[in-house]
Amino acid sequence: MLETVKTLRDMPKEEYYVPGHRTCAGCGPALVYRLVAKAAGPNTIFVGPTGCMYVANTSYGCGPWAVPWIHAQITNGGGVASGIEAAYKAMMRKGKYTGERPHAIVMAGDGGSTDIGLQALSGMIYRGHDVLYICYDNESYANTGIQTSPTTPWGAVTTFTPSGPAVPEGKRLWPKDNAQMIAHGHPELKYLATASPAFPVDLFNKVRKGLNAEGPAYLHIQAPCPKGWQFPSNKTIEMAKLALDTGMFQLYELEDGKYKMSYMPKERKPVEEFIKLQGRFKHLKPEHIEKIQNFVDQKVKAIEIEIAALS
Amino acid sequence: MNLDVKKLFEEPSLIQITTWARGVIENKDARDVVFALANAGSKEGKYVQAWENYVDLPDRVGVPVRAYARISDEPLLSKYVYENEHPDVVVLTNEALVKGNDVLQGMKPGGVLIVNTKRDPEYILKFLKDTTYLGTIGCIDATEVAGHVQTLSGAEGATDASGIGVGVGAVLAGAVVKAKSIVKPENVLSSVQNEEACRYGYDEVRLVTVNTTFPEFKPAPKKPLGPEDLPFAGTVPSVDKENEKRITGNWRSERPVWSKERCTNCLLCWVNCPDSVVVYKTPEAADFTNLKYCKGCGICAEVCPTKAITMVPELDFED
Repeated sequence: MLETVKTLRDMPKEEYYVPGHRTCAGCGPALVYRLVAKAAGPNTIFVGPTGCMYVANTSYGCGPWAVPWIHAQITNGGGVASGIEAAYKAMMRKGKYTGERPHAIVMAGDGGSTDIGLQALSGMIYRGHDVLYICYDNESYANTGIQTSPTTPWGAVTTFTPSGPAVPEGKRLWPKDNAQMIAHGHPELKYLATASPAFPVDLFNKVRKGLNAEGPAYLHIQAPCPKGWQFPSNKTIEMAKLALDTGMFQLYELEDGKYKMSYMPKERKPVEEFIKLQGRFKHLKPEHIEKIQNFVDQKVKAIEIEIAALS
Repeated sequence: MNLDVKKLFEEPSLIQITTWARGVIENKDARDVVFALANAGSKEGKYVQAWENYVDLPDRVGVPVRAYARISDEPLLSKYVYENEHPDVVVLTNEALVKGNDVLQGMKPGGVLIVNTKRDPEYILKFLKDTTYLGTIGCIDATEVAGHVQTLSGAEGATDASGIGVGVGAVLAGAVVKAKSIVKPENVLSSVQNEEACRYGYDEVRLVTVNTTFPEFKPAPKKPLGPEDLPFAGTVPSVDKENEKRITGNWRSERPVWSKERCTNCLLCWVNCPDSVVVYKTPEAADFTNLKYCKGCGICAEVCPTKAITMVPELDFED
């Protein structure tokens, strides 16, 4: 059992995701990775489906992990992790391995969890494997130069959804809510939470709770991306905080069939405060921002109703 | 056929231009410099090439990236292997690139270095290791007249709709043709979007002659890569080790400076650093001791509640 912590000071000082990686200055996913590795500790195997956290971390044969790590295709992070978990269980049953079973953690991007890799994630949870699947959500295919993904917000500009005379708003589709999709359709799921680097202690504890759960766990972590969202690299934490304060992203956990909000802003800020700081939204007109505001209002309401019903 | 292969690849009229920049934020500017010069060359009927460096990919915020041009009066016969091996002109879109990068490597005798900086050429020279073949250094404050343009059209195949030389690229291209008449200035002017900025670069660049005589040019033969040159594969062996083959301190344009007096040891800088630069030695004290990996993102200064951390331009430090 991994202990949860109360303050930053209780976190271990050891790093299992060490410096010397080729991620952007101010990279949100890299910060998330560091905290996840810190929470998981030394007895961990990371599975890295293709994405920024595979490509930027392993450029030219270097890897920043002080624990074992394996690359999986973007389609099959859940499958590879299932195999690792099942193999350890089998070896332990046969007496070929006597140590403590390592944690299996998938660190997949939003492409590897909500889009291309969704079937392997869903299959892994359906079969009940004891794996923690983490989606670090930077809201685009950032590694290949920012293409739209199912979690890219409506109205954001990517290289696949440029803003122009015919489509002034940029992206025209509303984003997928993967945490809700996983929560509703997978009875074997033992723990689910959303997290953000804006609250590192909360993130740290959710990783440990997910690992402590005896069965599949899913963590959806929003990870601001200075390259894709187009903001100065020192604003990563501010962006994460603003996403929560405006309701663009919500923090909650689902444990033993009960929902719990982890963070509720006292007064929700208008989404414009989040949007105006990012280059990917700079083309939006007031009527576009109003559309996003309506969407966020409805989403927040829906989650509050759900939480009231289930808790 | 009597063909001397050695002579074939000498190409006396070939001019090689290399631009260094910071990834994502200045990638477009680097590309603009080489595209503006190559475009101007083609207007004069010269043979031209321009491309970006695949080795520097994937494009990341702050990572040193390069863009190249080759301009010649004769058809270009030699093959390039990813990079310009012997540049005649080196352009830096960011002054801090002189630290941690061997920007003059392979430079031909009498080569030109153009730096986007407010500082004096003499100060920049302090940071250059081997200036044997450097003929001229030129400094121009391009950021002052034209902001950087952040676009998604990094080095990853996207289209660029904003036009060549809308940012610092135009200024630097103007400065290049002042320092070395590769192409006619009027052809560069008609190749860029921001003509005023280009003219400013041509008029205002501060040129200083570094060397007038040069020893015989003997480029060191390229050493074949051995196992010791390759980064180790797989994972880092222990939590105490770092990724020594991937030092990222040369990504930094600004350095965090920590004031012990103002620090309340809240550890927010420690927990929020993506590159584990803030080392948490005891529960009471965080310290900036691992700057060799600091990419200068500035998150630490931003999250510090007592403003105990300030970001200072990297070239203010001579170490």
